[in-house]
Amino acid sequence: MLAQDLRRPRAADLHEAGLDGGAGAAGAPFGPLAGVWQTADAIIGFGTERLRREVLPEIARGEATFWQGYSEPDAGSDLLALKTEARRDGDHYVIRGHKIWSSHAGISSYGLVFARTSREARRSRGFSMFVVRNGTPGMDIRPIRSLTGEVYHHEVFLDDVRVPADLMLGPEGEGFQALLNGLDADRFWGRFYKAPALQRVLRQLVEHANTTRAGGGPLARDPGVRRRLAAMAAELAALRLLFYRAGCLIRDGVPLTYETAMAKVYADETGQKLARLGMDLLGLWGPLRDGSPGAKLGGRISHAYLTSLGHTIAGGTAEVLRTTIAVRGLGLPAEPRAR
Amino acid sequence: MDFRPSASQQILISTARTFLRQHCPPELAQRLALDARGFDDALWQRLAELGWPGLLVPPDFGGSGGSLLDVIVLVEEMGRAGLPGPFVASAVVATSLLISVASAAQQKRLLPPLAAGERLATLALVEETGSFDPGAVALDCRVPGRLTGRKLFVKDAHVADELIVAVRERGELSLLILPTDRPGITRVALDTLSGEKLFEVAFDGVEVSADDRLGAAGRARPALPAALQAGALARTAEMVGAAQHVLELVVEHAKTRVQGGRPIGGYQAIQHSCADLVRHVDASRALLYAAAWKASEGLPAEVDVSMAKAYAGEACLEVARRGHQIFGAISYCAEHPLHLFHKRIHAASLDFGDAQLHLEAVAGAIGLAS
Repeated sequence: MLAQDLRRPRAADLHEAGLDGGAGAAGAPFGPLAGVWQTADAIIGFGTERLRREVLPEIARGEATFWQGYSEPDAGSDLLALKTEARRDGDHYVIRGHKIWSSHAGISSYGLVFARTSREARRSRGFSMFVVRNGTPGMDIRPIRSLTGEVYHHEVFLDDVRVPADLMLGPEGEGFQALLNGLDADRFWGRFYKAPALQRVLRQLVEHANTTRAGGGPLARDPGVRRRLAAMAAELAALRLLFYRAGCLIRDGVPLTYETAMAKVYADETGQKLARLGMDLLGLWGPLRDGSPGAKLGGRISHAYLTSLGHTIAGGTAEVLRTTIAVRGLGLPAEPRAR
Repeated sequence: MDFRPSASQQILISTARTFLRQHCPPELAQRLALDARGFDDALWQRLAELGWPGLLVPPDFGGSGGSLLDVIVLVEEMGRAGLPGPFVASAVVATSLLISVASAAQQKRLLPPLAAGERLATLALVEETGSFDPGAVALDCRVPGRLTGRKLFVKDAHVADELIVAVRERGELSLLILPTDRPGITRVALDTLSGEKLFEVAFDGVEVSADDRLGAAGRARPALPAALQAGALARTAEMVGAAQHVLELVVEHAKTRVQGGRPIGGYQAIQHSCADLVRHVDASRALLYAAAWKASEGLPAEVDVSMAKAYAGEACLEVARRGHQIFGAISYCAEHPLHLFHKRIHAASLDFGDAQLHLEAVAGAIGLAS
C-alpha cells in the first residue's frame, strides 16, 4: 500500500482489511493494528521529516506499534483536565506526568503521549502530541490486571522523559484539535471489524442452539431463543451497514458530525447484548473460563462478556458519544460547563 | 457500494418532499385519519398527475418502469408526510402482482388505468389466523363457481375498484380479481387507531368465472412472495419516513422548549434519548435501502426484507414512544401530530408480516434448526 493510500480508507482497503468479513469474521486478534493505521495517517498528514523517515518505514515493515497516552487518573472523559506537562529544553521536550488505561503499552514500541506544552486562555489550546519510544529513560510502564485476569492496560509514569523536539506530532499547542480531527478515523478503525466478528459469534451460538438439547428437543426450537438470535442477526446486519456507510463517507471526504460516534456506541452496545445473549444460552456453562473442564464454545463467551464491559468506556464512553451525537449531529445546545 | 440515492432518485425525493409539504400538510393527514372515507380525491388526482401510481408499471402500459428502490424512496417521503391512502396497496402490491402473474390481456386491460391512478386495486389475503403467510390461506373456491367466506384487514377496500383475492383451488393457491361492486361482496369498515382504512370483506355466494382468475389456476404461490416483499418494504419505508419526521419534531422541540432556564435539549437526559432515536432511524433506513436495492437488482432479498421489516418495526415504534416522552404532555393532545405518526408506525409494523413472522424467516436463514 502506498503511503498516500493510508490516509483514508478506500473501499478496496476496507475489504482487504476485513470489513468484508476477512479478519473480523475469522476472529483474528485485532490488537494494536488500528492504532498503527491511525498513527501512519497522522504522520503522513502532518508529521516531521524525522517521523516520516524513522517511523513510517518501521510501520510499513510491521515493526512499530503504538500505545495511546491520553487518559490520566483525573482526566478521563474530561481529557482537558490532564496534568502531564512537556517543557521545552533546548532541542528537547521534558515530559512529566502520569498516564493510565494505555492499551498494549507493555508490548508496543512507541507511546503517543498527549501533554500540555503551554498555558493558554482557551482551555482546548496548548496541548501537543509526542511520539515517545518505549524504554526512553524516565518512562516506567506498569501493567494493570483487568477483571478478565489478563493484562491489557498499563499505567505509565513519565519522570522527566526527554524527547527530541522533532518527535512532536503536529504543530505545538494544536494537539487537541488534531486529536478531535482524528476521532472519526479513530472510532471507525477501532470498531469496523466488530460486525463481522460478532456475526462469527452469532454463528457459534446458532450452532450451539442446534446441538444442545433442552426440554426434549434442540434449544434452537425454543421460540424465545429463535427470536432473540434472529433479532440479533438483524442488528448485526444493521451495524455492518452503518460502518460501511461511515467508511464510504470518510473515503469520499464528506465532513462527519455524528456518524462514527453513533457507529461506535452501536457496535459496543450490540457486542454487550450479544455476549449477554450468549451467556443466557450457555446457562451454567456460561461463566466457565477458557480451558476449564466442560467449557463450551472454548470459554470464549465468558471472555467476550467481560471484555465487552470495557468497550462502552474505552475510546469515549457511550455517554460522551451520545452527547456528541446530540450536540454535533442534531445541533442540540451543549450543557454548560461547571465552574 | 454507494449509500446515496441516484440523481434521478434525488429529483424524485425533492419533488415528493415539496409536493407533499404543499398538498399534504399534517392537518390534512389528521383530518383524513378522522374522516370515515379518509380519501382526498383531489390529492390523489394530483399525485396521479405526477405519475406516481405508474412508477412500477412498464412504459408499454402507461407507467414509467421505475425500480422498487425508486418506489421505496418515494414511499419514505409519503411516510414522512403522513400521506394516507391506497398508494402502497394499489400502486405497489396489487400492481406488482398484476405485473408478475396477470395474463397479457389482463395486463393490457388493468395496468393502464392503475398506472394513471384512475382505478385502484387492493389485495385480500389475510384470514382468521391473522397471518400474512400465503400458506395460511384457507378460503376455498371452485372456478367457475361461487365464493363464500371472508378476508380480514383488507386495506382501502372502500375505494378500491378491484379486489385481488387469494384462494385455494383444489388445495393450490390462486388469485382472483373481482370488481368490488360484484353482487355478494360486502365491506365492513374496521375502526383502527391509526385511521388507516381496513375492511372485513365478506363473500356471500359471489359468482366467479375463469375470466376472474389472475394468471393460471393454482399457480399463485411463486408470485406472492415478491409482491408481499414489496409491500413489506413499502411499509418499512413508511415507518422510516414517519420515524424521521418524529425525530425532526422532537429535535425542534428540544431546541425550543425552555425549562429550568435553558432548552430541554441542553440536558443530557434528553440529549441521550435523542441520540438513540438517530440510531434507530439510521439503522432502520440502512437495512431498508440494502434490502430494497437487492430486491430491485433481482437478487435474493427475502431475508434482508425480513430483517428490515422486523428491525424497523421495533426501532421506529421506539422512536415514536420516546418521542412522546420527550415532548411531554403536549403530545398527548389530539391536535398534536405525534400520535398519528405513532399509530401509523404501529399499523405499518403489523402489515405484510409482523416481527414474529419476519424473525422466524430470519431464524431459518441463519441456520436455526426447526
